[in-house]
Amino acid sequence: MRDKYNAEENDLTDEIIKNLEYLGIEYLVPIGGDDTLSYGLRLHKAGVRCVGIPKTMDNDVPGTDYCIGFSTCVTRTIEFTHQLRTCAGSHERILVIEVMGRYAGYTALVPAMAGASDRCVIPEFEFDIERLTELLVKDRRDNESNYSVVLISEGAMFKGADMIFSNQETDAYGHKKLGGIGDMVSAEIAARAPKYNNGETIHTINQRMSYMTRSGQPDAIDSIVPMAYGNLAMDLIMEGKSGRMVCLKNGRYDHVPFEVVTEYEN
Amino acid sequence: MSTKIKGTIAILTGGGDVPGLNPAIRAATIRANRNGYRVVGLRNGWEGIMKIDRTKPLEEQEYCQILTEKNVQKIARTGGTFLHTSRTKPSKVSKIKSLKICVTNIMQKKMI
Repeated sequence: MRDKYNAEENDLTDEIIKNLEYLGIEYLVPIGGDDTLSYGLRLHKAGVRCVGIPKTMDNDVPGTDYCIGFSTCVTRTIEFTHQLRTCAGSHERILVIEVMGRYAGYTALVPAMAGASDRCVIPEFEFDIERLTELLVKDRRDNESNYSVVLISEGAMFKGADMIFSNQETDAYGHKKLGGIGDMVSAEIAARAPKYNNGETIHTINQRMSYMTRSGQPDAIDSIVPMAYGNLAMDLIMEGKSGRMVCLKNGRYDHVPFEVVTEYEN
Repeated sequence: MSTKIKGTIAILTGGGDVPGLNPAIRAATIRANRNGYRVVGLRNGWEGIMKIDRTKPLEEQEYCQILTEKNVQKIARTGGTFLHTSRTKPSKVSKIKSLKICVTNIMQKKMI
């Protein structure tokens, strides 16, 4: 055994299967994002009966329209953004808020569409900092209270540049820790604003939402949907089905083959 | 539940925590229990199932917890995950950590 796992990186899947057998576990219900579920798929392929439940505040698990945690994230983002308006308004600033969201922009886009901010930038589209500054200065001018608000996804990218990482370390799934884009956007806006404001300086408020958006108790949607997902997973198990992921698709609860979780990997 | 257990279902949570995990654990547990299944919560995501001690019964495992209607009833009100979580990927475990797990297993075997 000592020789078996002697490489720099080892696959302990055989041990996991032995452990599950030892405990007499017949069905496994992993609740997680595409990383957690992709390993569930690995076990499913090795013969472990699995039913997955999708969870990410980014709402980006393939095969479902809803992932547990997304609604509360939007609720918190709207709530905290509105709270910060008093500070931005009093000082007549441009409020720059960084929210979590690695590859999917829903956590910035949905609150922005719901009126939490004037603008947002998301990972799906590279943004032009010059144009963004121009728009935010205009939004500020159009606002009676003389301030404007922009939400920045942590995975957003300046036109022609890469993602901004806080350091180069990666986790077991190969992801580097994101962070810092809000600071950069905030500084760039402050530097460019006078050009669109008759030479006058505009200060920014730079706030990273970070863990605040995933904090606290679940909102209504994140109390109702998980209840349904948990029951749906049990329905499948009781019917003797496995290798499925429960989902919400086109407004209906359903389930899809577990393989969907790796859909974005290629 | 006096009737025979129909099967054992394990639940785990992995990755970043979000509000809504506990309501899912609660609903699944209650539904399964009422239908005659035993439910085990595996703690710390994939990390927990990697660290099972194969000399101890399930009830004494550090990373297992029997879930019942009684002990999950109140958790749906709270955010985070009652079972804790990790970003561990068991198909990609460092040399040091693998050795640690193996050595523990070897020692356990000698003890039997």
